[in-house]
Amino acid sequence: MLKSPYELVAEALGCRPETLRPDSGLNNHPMWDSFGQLNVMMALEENYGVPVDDDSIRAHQGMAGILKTYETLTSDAGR
Amino acid sequence: MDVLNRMLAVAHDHPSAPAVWGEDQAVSYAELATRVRRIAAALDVCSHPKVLVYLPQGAEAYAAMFATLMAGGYYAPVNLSAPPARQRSVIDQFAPDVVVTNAAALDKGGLDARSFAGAAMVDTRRLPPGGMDEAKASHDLAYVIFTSGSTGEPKGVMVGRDGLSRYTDWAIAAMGVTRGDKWSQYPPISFDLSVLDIYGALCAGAALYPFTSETDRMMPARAIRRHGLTIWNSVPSVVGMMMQARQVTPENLASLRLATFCGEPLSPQHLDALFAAKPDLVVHNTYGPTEATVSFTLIKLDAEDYRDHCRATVALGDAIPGMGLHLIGGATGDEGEIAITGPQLARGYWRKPQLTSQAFRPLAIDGGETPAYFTGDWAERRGDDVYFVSRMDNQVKVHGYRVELEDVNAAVRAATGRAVCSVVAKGDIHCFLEAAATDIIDEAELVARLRGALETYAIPKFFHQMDSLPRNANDKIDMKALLERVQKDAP
Repeated sequence: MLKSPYELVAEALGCRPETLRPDSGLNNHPMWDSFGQLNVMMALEENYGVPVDDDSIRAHQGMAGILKTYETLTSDAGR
Repeated sequence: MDVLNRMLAVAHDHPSAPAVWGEDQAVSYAELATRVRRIAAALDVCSHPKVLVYLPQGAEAYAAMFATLMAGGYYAPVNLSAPPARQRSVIDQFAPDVVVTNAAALDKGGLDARSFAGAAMVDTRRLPPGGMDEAKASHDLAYVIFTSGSTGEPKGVMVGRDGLSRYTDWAIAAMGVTRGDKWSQYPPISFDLSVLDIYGALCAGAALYPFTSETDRMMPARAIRRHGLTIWNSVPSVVGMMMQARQVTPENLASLRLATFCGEPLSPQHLDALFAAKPDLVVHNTYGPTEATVSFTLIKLDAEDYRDHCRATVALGDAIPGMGLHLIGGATGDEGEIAITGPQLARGYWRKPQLTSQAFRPLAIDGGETPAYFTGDWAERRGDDVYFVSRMDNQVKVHGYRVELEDVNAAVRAATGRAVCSVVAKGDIHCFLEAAATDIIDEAELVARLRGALETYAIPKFFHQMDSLPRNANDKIDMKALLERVQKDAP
């Protein structure tokens, strides 16, 4: 069972899940700075198997990209 | 020896040696020198041109810096990631004669050519043919680096060319830099720690590796391994980031022979991790503000002896030859504000004579007076070592960057119209706002607004609402009470 994106990102950033919105991302949430982004990428690598490379970092700099990855993973798992 | 002559001598003697590595290929020293001569010719619009380097870190930016010196000028580098208002403040204050840039840099920085009204533009992708053969008579200054100012306006530190050359000579000798070295270039070029990388490597024939990709910047230890780097230079908090990502491993650090740190206190935990992964590593801890040309102290540490020089933080080291570290104003001679003397002192602040006279003052030594820079850093001597204790004002360091808390407060106050007070605990900025519990402040919206006014690292990480901010007997906001509150709540 995959962790929900909001739960995963909140844990990685050390913030409350309710402070995150679909448009939250790098540098527009108090806890989501470059160090926060590192934690997010580590959590994505560990939980969703997302590789850490330039394309992936750019794709996951906000909740929108992380939600998209989660949807892809859960729909693939449901097939 | 002058830094320009040193680099040109390397290019003459070892033209095919790699100078700056990109993702797949290197710019050789011969190519770098040619690029320097071509840009220098384009900069020859007036005597001693004031040059704005508006380029991302990499071979073109480094070439523009040397080219400015060749043209007899001095430069100011800009952080392309800074908020546009911050960039404009630097540009307006510096009022460059010439801007060295290109379309990609303008796009990255978010400004267009109209932002540089009155300045000649040199496009690094469309340089005219021909180059400068002989260097012009040099200016007293080498560069002006803008740092955080207490009024919200960045202040430019004017660094002399002699001081830069002297510092570079010392660094190359102290670090034992050779042509075989592969040297990281992690700090942004607007941060003076990058000066050590650029001049230290390129004046000694080493190969420089700018960290420009998202992955390299996020996972620097992996990049050390991938490139086989031998010298690493950064602020200590980057080691904290490596530790957080579990990257401080024997495999990742295998090629490294020297790690050098500056910009903020180095902690014993950083050294524990580094020496556990790489027992034969040598660590140089250095100390110095931009006003002393990068750094002016050094302590060399190895796995055998480093614990002898650790308290809450690692010792700052001794002043390098020619420079002086003085503890002034303490109850005993073993504590006080650090005052710096010697030939690496900056010439003051760019067009801010009052600020200059406040910070650069004569110091009475041995019956005479010597020019000194008073750092605002309080330190203490324990045995033979000097340790940083605290700042004497509202300036703090976040990931090595200077931040004036009053600057942060002013931005939050302007964005919210409320009484605010910021403190720093464990390296994070906490901002307290006076607001009724029912008056919910949208933090995401507030952060979005602050992005237009503050550098990313200066935006508070935590916001706390309070019905009223605590006041002391003088009716001033009680920062001590706020600090105790966050320290009590901190994990």
